[in-house]
Amino acid sequence: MTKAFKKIVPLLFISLLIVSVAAITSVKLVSASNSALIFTPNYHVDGTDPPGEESYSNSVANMIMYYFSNYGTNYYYLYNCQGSSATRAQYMSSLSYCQSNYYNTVVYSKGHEWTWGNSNHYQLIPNDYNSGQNNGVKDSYDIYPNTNLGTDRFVVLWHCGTAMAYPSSQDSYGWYGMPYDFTHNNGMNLDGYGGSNLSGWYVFLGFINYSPEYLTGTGYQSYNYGNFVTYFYMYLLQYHYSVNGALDAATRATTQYGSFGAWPFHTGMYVNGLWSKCWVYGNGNLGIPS
Amino acid sequence: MKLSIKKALTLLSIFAIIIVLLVQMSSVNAATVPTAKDKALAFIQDVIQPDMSKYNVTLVRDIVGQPLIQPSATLESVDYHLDANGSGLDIICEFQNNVLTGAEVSTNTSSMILSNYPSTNLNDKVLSVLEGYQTYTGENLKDMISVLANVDATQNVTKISGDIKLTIQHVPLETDISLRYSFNDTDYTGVTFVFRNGQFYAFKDDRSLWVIGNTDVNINMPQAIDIAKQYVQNYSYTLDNGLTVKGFNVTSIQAGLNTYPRENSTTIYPYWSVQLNLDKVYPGNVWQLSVGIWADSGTVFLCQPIGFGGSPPAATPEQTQSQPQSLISPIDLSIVAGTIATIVAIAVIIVKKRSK
Repeated sequence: MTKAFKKIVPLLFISLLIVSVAAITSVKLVSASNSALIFTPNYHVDGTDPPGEESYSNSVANMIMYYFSNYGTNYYYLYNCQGSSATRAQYMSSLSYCQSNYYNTVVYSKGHEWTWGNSNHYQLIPNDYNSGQNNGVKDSYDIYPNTNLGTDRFVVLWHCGTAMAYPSSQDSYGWYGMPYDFTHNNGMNLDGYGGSNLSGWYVFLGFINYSPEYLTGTGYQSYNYGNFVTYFYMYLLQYHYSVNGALDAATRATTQYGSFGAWPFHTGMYVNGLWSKCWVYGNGNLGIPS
Repeated sequence: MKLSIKKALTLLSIFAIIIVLLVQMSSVNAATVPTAKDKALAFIQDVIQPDMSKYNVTLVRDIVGQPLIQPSATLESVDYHLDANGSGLDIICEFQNNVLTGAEVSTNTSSMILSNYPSTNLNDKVLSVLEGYQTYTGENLKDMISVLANVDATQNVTKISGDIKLTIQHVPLETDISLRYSFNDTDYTGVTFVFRNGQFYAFKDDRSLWVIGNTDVNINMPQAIDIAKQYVQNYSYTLDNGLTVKGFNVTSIQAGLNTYPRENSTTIYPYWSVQLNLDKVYPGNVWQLSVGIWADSGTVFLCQPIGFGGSPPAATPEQTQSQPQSLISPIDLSIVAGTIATIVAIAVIIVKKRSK
């Protein structure tokens, strides 16, 4: 019994070692794959959206999910997180989970954003936001520590002010701004759409000042901004366009303009008295990770 | 009996000949109908005009889909790569229901398109592109060519000639040249060419996508503004949290003619688009009301509160600070397990050796 035990114990440990190594290797294999997170928090306690915007935002998110499900290459984790599921904790745990298990993470989020800290920090407003607790998804506190591996390579934040405060620096509240805190890359091209010699492996799309609501018309027939976003993901995933190509093609489909570069949505337009625009950092010549 | 066999054979022979002829005719028809790939190549040669003798042409992809957003339409994208010793062009042509509706050129280097038409003069270039498009479509576009031939494309221009409205707009990245059919101060469908660094970059033609219903504009701008102002006096909207909002103070108004489809069709009609800016941000982050009024009847068909996605300039003083969260992930656990197992196995081997 003792002899047999002596023989079995090393064998057991060697087996455990092999299993563990295999587990680590398999994680590495899995980490060559991609994940996509789609957040539509629809915070409405304070009446932040016009009527119908919440349900329409959900349907746009469902369309994006459809394109990932049917045409995404090597996407092994898709999470369409809407309404009450899109809490602050869920943003953080999902980001952490994806960066730990997948080589690339693609993030899309649509909603509101307010400033905090010295007004140079930004927080996404989750579904469980409580103004008394000021518990938004804060850039340096909540995003930064859960994206530190730098795997969030393609990020679209359709919230106000998400392209502001870049390049980033530190203050008493930490690194400010969504572009850096999602990508951990302070060297992205400052004009990822129109710049020359674009390089790198990151794309960040956000807003200088205000983002329009999805139900707002683009001014071309009956198309609205939700249609633009849907076409954008369709061209990225179903038709394999680059980010800039998809921006151009979606612009042609839903506006009177021939390219994203001429549309005031990108060149700048007044929204509620503020000069606002949709902006791209990084390398817009990249396609969506595959 | 013999006669009837002969008859039968004759009939069979005639039948066979008819079948063969029909098959031949259908194959001839199939051969004469150009595919999207053929059309894309023709567009590249006629409109973009690269010197094809200097390029190797490769079909990168040809994808046909039914867009979820417009399930009744067929959207085909044809992507050709033109390579000249590493200096490459990618040209994507988009077809809706087999009609070209858009195109775009991207380069992998900063090199210029090796062109059959080497002029660097923008005026010459845009004219050459439009004439090339006339060749491609086989349509008579002389009205468009005529209006474009008489302007300086290096300047911002708005010019109406007959039913054609030409707009040339220079923005930091590019020059956009738009030629649209225009009736009663309303722009309908047309073509747009985009040039970057003096070269063809993109193109859009929406003439096949929309049918013009009527062009009647029976009310003028002051009348449209009055209708919109009256309408919003009694207008209210209810937020998803149940709050009803009404009683809006309008501070300024913009209005313009545009087109909009009726009854979810692709037939478009002129309407007055009236934007009423409000004195403050109302619940729902609403700062503007957008009113649509049919230009033929003066009927309001759309009133929409326009909102935005947050309030970045307004400082929110920090009251409470949450601590950064560190979450243990599956990869961390597997590494920990592996490390422990390795240490234990090595320890067992050492103990075993020592005991020997």
